[in-house]
Amino acid sequence: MQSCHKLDEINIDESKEKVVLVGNPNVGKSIFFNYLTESYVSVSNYPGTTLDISSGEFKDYIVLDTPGVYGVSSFNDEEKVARDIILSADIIVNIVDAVHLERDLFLTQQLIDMDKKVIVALNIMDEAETRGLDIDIDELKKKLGVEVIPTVAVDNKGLSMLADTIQHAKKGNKSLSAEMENKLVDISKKTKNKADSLLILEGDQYVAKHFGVDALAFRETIYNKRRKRVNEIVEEVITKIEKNNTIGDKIGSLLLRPLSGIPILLVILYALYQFIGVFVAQTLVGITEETIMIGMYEPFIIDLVSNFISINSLLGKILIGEFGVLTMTVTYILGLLLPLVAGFYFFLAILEDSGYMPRIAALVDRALNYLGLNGRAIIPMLLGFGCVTMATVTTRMLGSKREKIIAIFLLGLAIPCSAQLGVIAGLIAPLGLKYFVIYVMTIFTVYVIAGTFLNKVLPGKSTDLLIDLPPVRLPRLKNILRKTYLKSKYFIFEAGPIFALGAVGITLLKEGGILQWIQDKVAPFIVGWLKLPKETTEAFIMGIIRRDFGAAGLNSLALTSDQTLVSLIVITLFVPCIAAMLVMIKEQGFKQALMVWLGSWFAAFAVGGIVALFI
Amino acid sequence: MDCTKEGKRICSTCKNEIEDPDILRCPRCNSLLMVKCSECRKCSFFKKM
Repeated sequence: MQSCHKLDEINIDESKEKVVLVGNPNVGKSIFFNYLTESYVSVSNYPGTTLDISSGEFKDYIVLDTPGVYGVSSFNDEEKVARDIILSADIIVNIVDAVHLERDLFLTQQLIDMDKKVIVALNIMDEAETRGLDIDIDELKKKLGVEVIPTVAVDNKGLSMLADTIQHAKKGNKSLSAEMENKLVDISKKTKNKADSLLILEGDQYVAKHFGVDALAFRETIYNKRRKRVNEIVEEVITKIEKNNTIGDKIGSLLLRPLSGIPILLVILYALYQFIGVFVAQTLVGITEETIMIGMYEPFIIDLVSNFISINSLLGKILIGEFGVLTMTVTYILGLLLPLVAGFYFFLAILEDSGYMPRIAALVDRALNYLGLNGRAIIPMLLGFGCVTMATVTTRMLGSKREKIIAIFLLGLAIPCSAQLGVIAGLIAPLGLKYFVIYVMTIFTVYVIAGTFLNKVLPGKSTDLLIDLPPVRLPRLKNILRKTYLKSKYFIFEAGPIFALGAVGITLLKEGGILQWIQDKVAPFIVGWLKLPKETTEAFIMGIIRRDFGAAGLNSLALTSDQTLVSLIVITLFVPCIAAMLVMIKEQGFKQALMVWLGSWFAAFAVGGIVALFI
Repeated sequence: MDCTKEGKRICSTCKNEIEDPDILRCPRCNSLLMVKCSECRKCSFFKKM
């Protein structure tokens, strides 16, 4: 097959046929990918989950997942990536949302017009039925000229049938006029394939440039004809049976109205605080950290290692000393941070899968406009409370570069990740409501000031909020537990080695006397300006590696209530962790990542000092 | 922005460019098209036409 497109980033066996999963955003492509390849990519009930390409094997095929697109063209980066993979496909599995047939069949018809072998998975059939949509599948097959398999992917319904039918994928009935067909044949003399030719005919500059021809201006003619045909098909295959609004519809509507939506949001945030800050951070961590790790594990490991290595030797200190790799590192990661992170991911997965996230986006849209963002930005912001690194990647879903810059800066500055949040909640809860309110208001004020400032100084305008509202669904426990497990596992593997390195570094600094030297040098600042004991420097140094380690380091210091508050504000606004910095460099370039890093230093110590002055 | 200078509307949902001023819905994603250009909220598309 000739194609102008290479899949550079994926190592693909070219001898195998490629099955490409294609569909609009949020139709469940990733579930099909997981089923066919028996692997796992993240599945959520909001648009834009697939930002990178996943590949796997199914029978003798290579299966490729793609970002959700409304059509094959080059209007944005996701489309360009999807376009390249679609053009190289041998078979296309087109996942269609049965509830939004009118929207989704445009892409189906375009794929058929591209002369590709297509099989349609008519997904979310349960939802369509609930909404009173009766779809004549046989008629739809006849109209499209390709196989149509009804599925409910989240329940594994229809997936085995789809897998068995992939080999029967075929070319379908086109929507092009005779005039366009003739033009297509003409261009195909040069391109040797109709898929590329159609895109050239539809005015795709990138494809045209590859073949050294001019893009043609028939997009609107072809699109309008295709739309007309899709509308005709939908008219003939769907019968709407009048049904009352479902409970999901009613809840969805309540979540969207400010009068009911804002109190519900506040209740949910309070529930989150109770769950993470009180239950997990205090009760659960009390058991895992103090009883299990400090009470049982540490004495055991210290005893065991002491048999071979003296605790007073350098290696002994590195392994089982105050900042030991086998003591403090393991205790912090498994006993303290893991329960917090898992707890947060569990809660977040419920919000994601229920379809609540896009509704929060709609609810907070106007407020975020003041910060130069639209409501869509709430998704990376909320994800940032889980992991700032992951959230930074999802800022790609924002409409403009300007919005991405603002969102990434705010994520790096004022959004504490789940591990850090858990430790903070655990430290601040015993201090009482007054300190909690001062802490939240301070961070919130910094967040608002930073956003407003960037909104004023950055050139350009932000885009409007237009986001698909998925139906409100009861989350599936299996998917929630799986997501929680995989993200927590990712956290351990990502954070573990960095934390261990940080711990070794701190031990070496301490044993070499450098830590003391740094503490002495910055003491006037830490003690004089922030009014903290100079030992807090150790926590801040750990915080450079990961902010949550810094917060965890505060756990072992004897601080007064005022000092705890100031140190928590500083560590919250402190520099993003190394992993988040690397992603920021990748997403926005070194210069902007450096600005976020330096800006965080300034904001953290300036705000910490001001709070110390006034309390 | 280019969309207004060139007399095109850009669909805010799927970014499709539409020249025909009479179309109410984006042919590609079926979303309702805004009268004003989606990128620049100051000027009306129709005024520019």
